[in-house]
Amino acid sequence: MKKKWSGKSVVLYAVLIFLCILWIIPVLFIFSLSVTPETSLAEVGYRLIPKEFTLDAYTYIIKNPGQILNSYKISIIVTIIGTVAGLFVTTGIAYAMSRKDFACSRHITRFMTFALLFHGGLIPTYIVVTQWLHLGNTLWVLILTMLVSPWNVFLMRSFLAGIPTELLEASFIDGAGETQTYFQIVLPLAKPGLATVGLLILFGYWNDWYQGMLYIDDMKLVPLQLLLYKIISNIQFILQNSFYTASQSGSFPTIAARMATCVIAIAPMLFAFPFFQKYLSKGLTLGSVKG
Amino acid sequence: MKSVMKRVSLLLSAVMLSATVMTGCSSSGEVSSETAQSSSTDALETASSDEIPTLTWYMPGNPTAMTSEGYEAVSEELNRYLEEKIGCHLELKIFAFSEYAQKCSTVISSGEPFDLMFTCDWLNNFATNAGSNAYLPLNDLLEANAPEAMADIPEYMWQATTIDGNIYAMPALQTYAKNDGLFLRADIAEQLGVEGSSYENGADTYTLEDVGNMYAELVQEYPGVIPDDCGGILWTYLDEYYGFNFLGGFDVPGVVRFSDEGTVIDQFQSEEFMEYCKTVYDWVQKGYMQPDYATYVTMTDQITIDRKSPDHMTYRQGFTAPNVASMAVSDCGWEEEPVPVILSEKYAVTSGVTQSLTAVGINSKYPEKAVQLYNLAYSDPYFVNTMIYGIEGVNYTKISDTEVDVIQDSNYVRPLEPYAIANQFITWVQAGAYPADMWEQIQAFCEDATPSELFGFIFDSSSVKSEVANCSAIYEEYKYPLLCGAVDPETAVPELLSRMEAAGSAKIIEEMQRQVDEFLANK
Amino acid sequence: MQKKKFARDMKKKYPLLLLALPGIILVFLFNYLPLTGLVIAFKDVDYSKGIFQSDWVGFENFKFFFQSNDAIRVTRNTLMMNALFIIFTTLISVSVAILLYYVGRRMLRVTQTILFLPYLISWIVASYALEAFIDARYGVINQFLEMLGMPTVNFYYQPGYWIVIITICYIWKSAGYYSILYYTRLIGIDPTLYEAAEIDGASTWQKIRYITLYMLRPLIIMLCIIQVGNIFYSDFGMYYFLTRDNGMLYPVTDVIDTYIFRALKTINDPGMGAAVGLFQSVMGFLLVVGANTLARKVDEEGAIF
Repeated sequence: MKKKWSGKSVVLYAVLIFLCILWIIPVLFIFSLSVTPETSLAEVGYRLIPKEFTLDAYTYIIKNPGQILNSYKISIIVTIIGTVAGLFVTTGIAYAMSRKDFACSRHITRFMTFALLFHGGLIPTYIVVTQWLHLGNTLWVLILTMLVSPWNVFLMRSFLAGIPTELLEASFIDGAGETQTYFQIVLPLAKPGLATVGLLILFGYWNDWYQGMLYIDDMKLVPLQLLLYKIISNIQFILQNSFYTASQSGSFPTIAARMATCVIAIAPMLFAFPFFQKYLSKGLTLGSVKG
Repeated sequence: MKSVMKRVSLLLSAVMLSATVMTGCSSSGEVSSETAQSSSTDALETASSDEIPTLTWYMPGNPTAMTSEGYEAVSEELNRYLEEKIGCHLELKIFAFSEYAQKCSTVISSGEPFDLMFTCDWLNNFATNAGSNAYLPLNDLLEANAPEAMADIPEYMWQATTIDGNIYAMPALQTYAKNDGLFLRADIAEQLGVEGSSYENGADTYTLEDVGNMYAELVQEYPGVIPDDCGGILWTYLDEYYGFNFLGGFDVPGVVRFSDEGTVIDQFQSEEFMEYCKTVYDWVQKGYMQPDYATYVTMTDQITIDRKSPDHMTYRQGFTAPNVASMAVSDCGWEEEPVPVILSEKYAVTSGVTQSLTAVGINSKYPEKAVQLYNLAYSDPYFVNTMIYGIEGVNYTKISDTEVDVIQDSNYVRPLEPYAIANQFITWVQAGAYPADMWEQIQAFCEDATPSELFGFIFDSSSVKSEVANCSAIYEEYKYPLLCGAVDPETAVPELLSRMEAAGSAKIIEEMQRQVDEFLANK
Repeated sequence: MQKKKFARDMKKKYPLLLLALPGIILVFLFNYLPLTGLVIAFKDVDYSKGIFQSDWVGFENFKFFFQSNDAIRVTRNTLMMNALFIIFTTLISVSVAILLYYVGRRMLRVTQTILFLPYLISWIVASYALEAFIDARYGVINQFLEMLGMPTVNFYYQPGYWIVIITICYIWKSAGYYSILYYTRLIGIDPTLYEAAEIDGASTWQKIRYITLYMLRPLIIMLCIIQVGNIFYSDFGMYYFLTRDNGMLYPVTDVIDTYIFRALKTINDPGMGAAVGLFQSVMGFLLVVGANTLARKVDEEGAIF
């Protein structure tokens, strides 16, 4: 594809830019709501560019910086370990499934399909995790329960299926064993797939508050999203007890605080994104190997 | 070849490992149920050893308070005090109101041991959990371990927590009498010439029509202003006004009239229900209530904001009592105490008690200590107020016998609601927020209430579960539109009724009647 | 004979099993062990006995859902909305992926990031963004209508709009996610295929039709099958928060999960909840088996098992 500003590419870019605008406006609204004082909402209605501007919501959330930083730390540790380990485990099982010449591949696939479609439900899972495996209130519970998702395994398998079998056969003919072929041929070829699934695993970990809510009581182990959830849930409580708290102002930022938690939580992900996107460009894989 | 074998055996051992995990689990499952039965012997054993047990207490509140720097010091002080008094430590498990029910249901369903748990009819449902044996019957424990609470809390309140002869929870002392009504901002009341009611039972009450007339005047006087508070569904604030005693909660068909407590009727078929729906429909049309009241009422954030508006004129909560007036002042930022416009008599009904209960877990290892702990929270002001306010001199200063002044920025945030802990009447109040004799006033408020004949009756829905599930699902569909005046009741009410009927509402009424008859016969 | 072949295969390929093993163990622990809990669908839960020791009640727990007159309505809504989601998300995300294949690197990254962002936003936060548009008094759309002197619309009172609103919200949140998946598959296509086609004088459209879509087909089929497997489930948070659990919108927005939530809110019986969950899983499983058989006929590679 030589770059030429032909009519076609103008249309192409125009369509994509239009889509981007459609997609980003609600996000901008969320941001703008996080800095709009609520009194002005009732006055002038929702506006993309707020009439008045305030950082009250952010200062309210970051009121207790020690806890926020600690929760950031927990989230980062869990996310990094979880993503690396999860990617390794997911790819391993997906590769075994993708090898049609492997006698167990069909069994493993059936095993995963069943896991994909049947869910034991909340309470049995809770019993398994807390009473059988004794993982309650540990960092492990945050990492292990989400390490493998059957959905990601199937995605990974479909990406691995794109690797031509001839390449593997060539490797075996050259005398390489299974392990060597996996690490030296398959993984490098699967970079885009690894990047994509890695991204999904990462977001899964970062965004999760539910596992934390179920299994973590210790405030020292509370991940960021759960902390933000708790802060928001507490607003009502705090409002009703405004005599007992320092903030007795008439304009407590309730909606803004909700929006601000979202901004605080997803902003770091904007930095993670480009890291993975590096591996998502065409010609990076097949071309280089074949050439 | 050898290496392959080694790998295979490794693999096998991993499979074995998972197999042992499996068998391990089933046996541990049995163990946990055994411990439930032998818990009392367990407690004896631990008591004989020197170790001090730590009790867990689940409560809704403000969990982020647990991260404040002062929390640890307060927690240490509480434990020191408890060690001295009853020889145990306390681990408070505090969860936000929105996560509390979920957390409790997982803890209960998984059979995890816990000692004390807040439970009630509006969060972490008491009757359901007690019905499935999640809580320990306390009949034999109370006398010896909770003498103060037993002596103080009247017999009829214990009845409200008794199912099939088992006392499944300990009631808290708080505002258990209920009436209906609202508050008018002081200057508005003056302008309208409304003198207001006194809190005395049944004295100078108003009617809903009176309220409508006040609103009409206000709408004329202040164009564009919506006079009704709109916080919460009005219907649920009018049960005493219409003389209904809701036996199965607001979402389940089945009430008795205070005038005839022996006969269960379907409130949705009553004239009062139709009349109410028409009134609200009319009020919304006339601009007395928010034009989108049906969706507005669920937006608690928005309501809190609107209450701070200078145009806000009225205030209502579940009941109309002196402490609610103080809440109105705080929530709306009013300068003067508002004027109560009371619509009904005061009644003492079961739900007034079941709104705040504490139960002991079926798998609790220290049931005696748990009851003692509750009793301490019931009778010892120092203990309770330390939980609420922290340490004297550090987190608060004592002003009078019943008043404190919270020291701002002292790194301790109040984690709990006083009404959820055993005895609200021994908690101190923030000076200025409430009058010093607040709880005396409330006690007086409760005392002259008319007790319902069915006070203590709890509806056990287990034999009509399907019907209750489907009826409440159908009702939820109409609840906001109909009760908040978004749809014309002339068409919607018959529709609701025919669908409820098909879902078996009559069967619920029948079952409720049977239980009421039984209750009255045994009285 | 077959055993021998299997042994020979294993001897050479056992590292594959070792690679898969950690995953198998984890799935066994966190997905399979909890399945034992499905027994509570058939039990009358009594906590003093523990879940596994409670009494059996047969299909008692299933009754309430199947006897209710609303079962048909909520099942229909669930299936219809999910079908709309699958169709539109697939169409849009495949198109976006193909468009992205032809743009420069910077444009690619920016677009991908922006389209993906909503995936990270929870439904409760998204519900406020939605409100900014459709709120009866303060919403952008109604402000605009007012400006034009047209009557305003209270969207929260009109179920008709919500098929569209919910579908748009779903696409907004998930199209970026799926388009990245399709794009990743696209860049795995051997570029020489395109070069060869170009030499044969194929137009861009022909290349898309015969190469791109052909190569994407297995992934499209696979993702659709998996989504069909979950077609009896709904994203509870989406319906609950976006509609604010509004009864007036139920004719369109009431799905199995919201119905169950409502029905069990008062009685909170874990057995009844599990019963409906089991029904959803079994139906999904049957559909997947059917869809998979169909897929095998169309494209072997797209079948999931």
